[in-house]
Amino acid sequence: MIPYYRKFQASPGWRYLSYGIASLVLTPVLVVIAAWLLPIQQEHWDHLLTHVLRTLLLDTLLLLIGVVAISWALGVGLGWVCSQFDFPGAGFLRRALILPFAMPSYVSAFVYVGLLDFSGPLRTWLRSVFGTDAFVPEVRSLWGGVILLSLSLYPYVYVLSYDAFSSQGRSSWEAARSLGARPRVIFHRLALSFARPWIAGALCLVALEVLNDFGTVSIVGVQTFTTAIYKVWFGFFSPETAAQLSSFLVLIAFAVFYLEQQTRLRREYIAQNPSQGLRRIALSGPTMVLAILFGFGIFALAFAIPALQVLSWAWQYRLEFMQSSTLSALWRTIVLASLTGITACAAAGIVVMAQRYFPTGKLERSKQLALLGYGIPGSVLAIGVFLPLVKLDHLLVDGLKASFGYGGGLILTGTVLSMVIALTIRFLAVGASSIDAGLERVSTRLDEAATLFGVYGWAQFRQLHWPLLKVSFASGFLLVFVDVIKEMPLTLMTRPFGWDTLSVRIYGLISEGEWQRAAVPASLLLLTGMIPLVFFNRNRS
Amino acid sequence: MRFTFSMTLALLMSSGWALANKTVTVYTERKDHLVQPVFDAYTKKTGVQIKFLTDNAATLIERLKGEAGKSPADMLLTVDAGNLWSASQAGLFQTINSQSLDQNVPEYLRDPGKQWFGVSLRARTIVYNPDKVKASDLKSYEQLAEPSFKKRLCLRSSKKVYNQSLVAMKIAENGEAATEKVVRGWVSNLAAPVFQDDTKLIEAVAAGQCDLGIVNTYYYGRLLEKNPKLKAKLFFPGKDQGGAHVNISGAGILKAAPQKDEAIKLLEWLTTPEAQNLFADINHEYPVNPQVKPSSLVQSWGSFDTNLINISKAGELQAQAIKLMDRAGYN
Repeated sequence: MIPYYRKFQASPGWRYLSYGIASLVLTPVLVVIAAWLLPIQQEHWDHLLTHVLRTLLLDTLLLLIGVVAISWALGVGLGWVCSQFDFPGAGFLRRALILPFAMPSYVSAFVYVGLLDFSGPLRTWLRSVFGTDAFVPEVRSLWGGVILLSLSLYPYVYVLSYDAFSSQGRSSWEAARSLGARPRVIFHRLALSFARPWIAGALCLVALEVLNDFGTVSIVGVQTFTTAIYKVWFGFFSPETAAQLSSFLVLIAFAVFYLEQQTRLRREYIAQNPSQGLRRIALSGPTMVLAILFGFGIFALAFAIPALQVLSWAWQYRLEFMQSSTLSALWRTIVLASLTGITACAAAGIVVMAQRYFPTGKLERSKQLALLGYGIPGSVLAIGVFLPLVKLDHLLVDGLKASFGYGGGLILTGTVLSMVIALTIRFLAVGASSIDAGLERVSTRLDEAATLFGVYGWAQFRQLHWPLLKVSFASGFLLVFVDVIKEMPLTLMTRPFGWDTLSVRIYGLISEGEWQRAAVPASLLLLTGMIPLVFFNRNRS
Repeated sequence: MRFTFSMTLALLMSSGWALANKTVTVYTERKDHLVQPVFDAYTKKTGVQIKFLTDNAATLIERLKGEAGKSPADMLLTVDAGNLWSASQAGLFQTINSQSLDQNVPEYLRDPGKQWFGVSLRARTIVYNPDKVKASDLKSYEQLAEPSFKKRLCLRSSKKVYNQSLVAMKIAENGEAATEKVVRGWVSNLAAPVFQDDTKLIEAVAAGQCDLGIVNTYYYGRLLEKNPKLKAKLFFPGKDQGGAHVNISGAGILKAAPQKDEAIKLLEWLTTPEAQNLFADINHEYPVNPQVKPSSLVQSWGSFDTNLINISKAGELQAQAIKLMDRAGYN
């Protein structure tokens, strides 16, 4: 009964905006799926089915399972250790463990392949000392890929599980503790199940990142669904077949979001006394050493080592930092990421809140559709965004020509506006995950109470939800910001002339194999990404 | 020429969006740091401004298809013949009848339909570790498939267009069945998983992980510049073995080019002796214009005979080559 009451009192604007956003996201997705209407190139499909798809599906699956499992273990483990225990350096780790977000995974993958390959310093040294390096596993392999991707993706799980462990179910844990349950038992029996929706949401993002990753898997030489898409497009000159292949990824993305939603149906995860602090247990002896090794070990591997390598390369080209082209790229990167952060969070806020105010199946699906942009490889989405945009542009120019005698070229394509729209479509899901996580903690009873007091519709958002969710919106903004600065294919495809960002400059250099020179924009990108992450930490504490 | 030119200019003026300076717009796969100095030189010489946009060729081609008749682009510049072939298949280029282009660019390095022209030449050849291999024992790409090279060969990924072109040109030369046998032989001789870039491959050869491999010469040039004592040398297959495999960095003028005449002038200039060294030397590549000599570093690797089959075959047979490599288990 009560949900229906909520529904009738809410203002319909939320609903229509949500549909609008969902259809905006759906447009490029449909362009990709519409590739099935184009002639099917039988010879390419025959080849893929006979020679490529079997190994590729197996490798993709192994990579996916491996990365999801290891990111889960690292993220949940670190989240638990840092939120429940105190040990020397714990305060630093709590903040520092999310820094790998700022490290593009293709950069750390390249650094590690350089360090651990046969001709790299480690194995050269081992050979000179021990005469052999046969015991070092090959980094350019499926397992190398699993570990490198996990190291760059675990922060999704860490952040959300840390927050959940710090704020969820404390009174139950205190009760369990007072009944003599040891931390391990509390972790397995209580904490994990309390934190489940957040961990599941984070793992969804990890899974989609793995499916869409192109940089890292190319560097370690793993064949995945995404590499096959690029092979078909760039190699067979068949963007149609590439789009047809991509439509399966859209399907998978939809299934992932749908499953995630199903796992939390009819459950409420509302914090009891979330503000009440839980005393952390101080560690000592071997467990303390283990905790320090675990925390600092992962931090070093995921961030410190690749960051130091990038900075030392950048030092060789330090004069390039002061070039006006580098500085203007930095400035554009910040402008673009900020604009996209705002629009992506606004759009995400609308689809998430619309579903809250109208808890119906339609709005639920509208929200799921709005997140789909995250499920398609960047380049394919870039084409999906570009084609309708340029169509619209043609119509506009033709119209202007007919009515005003306008004689210039295209207007919309290659504007900052179209860039922001494209990137918003891509990263809406990132903003939504943060806002969703925040909203889960606000009991619907509050909404109902507010409605009974006559505060509903827009007023309810302004007076009740916005104050409670400000922090989640800010966190969403920061995460989108960090993602945008690392993004390449959409930025490349939609940017105006001469509007190069840091990631565009990195792309130009690394595609010519100039990794060390690329360290200059890469280190600026790292620093730019670290600043919002520091704020993100403030937000959390 | 001058007349049409001033006519175009007058037309532009009348349509009300004339630019103070003439501007040619280039979509380029060749990256900023490799084209900027060349374009700057042209602007300095002629006053013509050059606006350019970098991205990979496949994406640029999709962009051009979408922009259709209203594209601002005059020229598409790519780093391999395959993409030029694909762009011309998509009907993006116009036929260019230019005496100077015909003269400056050898026939096998341009489109038989005169839609695109090579601007620089890139050789893909054998790199070897002189401690482990004698140059006199080397013959050809095909030879690397022989059992005597078991566990001695390093290759770059088959996903790279350079290898796709090499195999495509081998199909053109020797037929599909023979080429597949060779590729299978290569795969069974591999000493390490395939590499993702030529630089890493050359380093592996120098470090002794493998004895030899196949690379583009300019990567070797860059490493040699940093480390003159690099333990690696280049070998070019002789004329009797079909010659060394080459590909091009090249360009075509787009059908909808708003500044067609200026764009043709730019393309012509790029193939003149004046620009050839600038364009090629910046990346240790070879000029396409036979009258121009490569840089002294590049010359020091020795001269060679190139495979003379028209480079457009690399595009035509590229899909076939990739399928062949997939079948042979070459990742």
